[in-house]
Amino acid sequence: MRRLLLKRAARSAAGIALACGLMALSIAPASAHGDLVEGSPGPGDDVAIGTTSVRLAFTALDPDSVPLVAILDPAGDPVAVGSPSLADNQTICSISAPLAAGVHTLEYSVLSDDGDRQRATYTFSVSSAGAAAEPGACAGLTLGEPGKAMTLEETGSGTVPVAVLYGLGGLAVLTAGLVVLRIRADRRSSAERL
Amino acid sequence: MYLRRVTTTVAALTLVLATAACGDDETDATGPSGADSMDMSDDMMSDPDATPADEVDGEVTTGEFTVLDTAPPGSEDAAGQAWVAQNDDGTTVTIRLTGLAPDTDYLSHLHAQTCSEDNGGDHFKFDLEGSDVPPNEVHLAFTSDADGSGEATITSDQQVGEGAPALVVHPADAVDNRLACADFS
Repeated sequence: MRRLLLKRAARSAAGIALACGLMALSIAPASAHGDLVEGSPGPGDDVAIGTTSVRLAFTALDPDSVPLVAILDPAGDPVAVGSPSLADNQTICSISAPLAAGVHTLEYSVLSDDGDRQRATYTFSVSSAGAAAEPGACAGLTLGEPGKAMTLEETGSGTVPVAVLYGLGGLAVLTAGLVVLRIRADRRSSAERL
Repeated sequence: MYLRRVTTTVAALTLVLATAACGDDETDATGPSGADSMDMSDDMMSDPDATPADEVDGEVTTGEFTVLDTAPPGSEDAAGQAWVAQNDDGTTVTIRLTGLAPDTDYLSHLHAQTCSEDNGGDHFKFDLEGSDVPPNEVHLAFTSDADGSGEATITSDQQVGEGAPALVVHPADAVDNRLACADFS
């Protein structure tokens, strides 16, 4: 009987894990949360050679999240970008190495206030005729200097996704529960024998 | 009885944590109205067997594409036309473009505002409270040919009425770069 219950518990856990997987597969992408409203450089912009200011304004960011930003040069190689900071909770600010002429690609990954992580890419050009950067809400902020040039994947590799943490936590709780269950079952069995 | 209670408690706790773990899903590349590059089945975003909108019997409106200020650099030559046909069977949308990057994937959506209003604004939805994916929205997907030309047609069994005054095209891998917009008239 006890073994049967333990088996049922294990089966329940497996079922829950499967349900979680199916939910992840079936969830419809979230609606307009955390969408890019404006940027400097923004999509399709032409900015001046030597631009270093990066500003991305969104609709509804999770202010406690860590946004990721990466810039690729015309050859597709990453440009050094400093750790992003948040201004007014909805604007990502950062400093890049001075941008050279050509078409660049900006990649970002942000967490919306509804928990939906949004990842997107856009292109802009850098030229001698380009406009000066518009720091906007980022003006006056003390920002981290650009470090090593990294892709978005490399930038985010140091962070553990929240889902993984929750998943591991859930697994730990389940394991602990089953162990307790087993110990108590064994104790009761011993007591009955005595 | 006791064992069952413990088992139930552990299972419930795990369910709560597992559900939370499911919450931080990643949406790949959404534009200002969201869901601009969702991975959906091709038949919901293109129907090569459908009669093009400009050949459908019904009320047909058309618009010329204009290149937007958010277009990817080098898109100045993009041009083309979009059509929306409506009849008792629903809605058919067709787009034809030239001057695109060759062999490139593109996405297109009916929008709820005109091109001059925030580059088309949000996506058109049949049910405003509904999902961001077809059939609640009208999306088209296509790949340009080696000459940079592309065409797509999609149908819906509902009429969009006058709620979708514009259509916007984006590169599939850079959806924040709204490339071109067509107002229907």
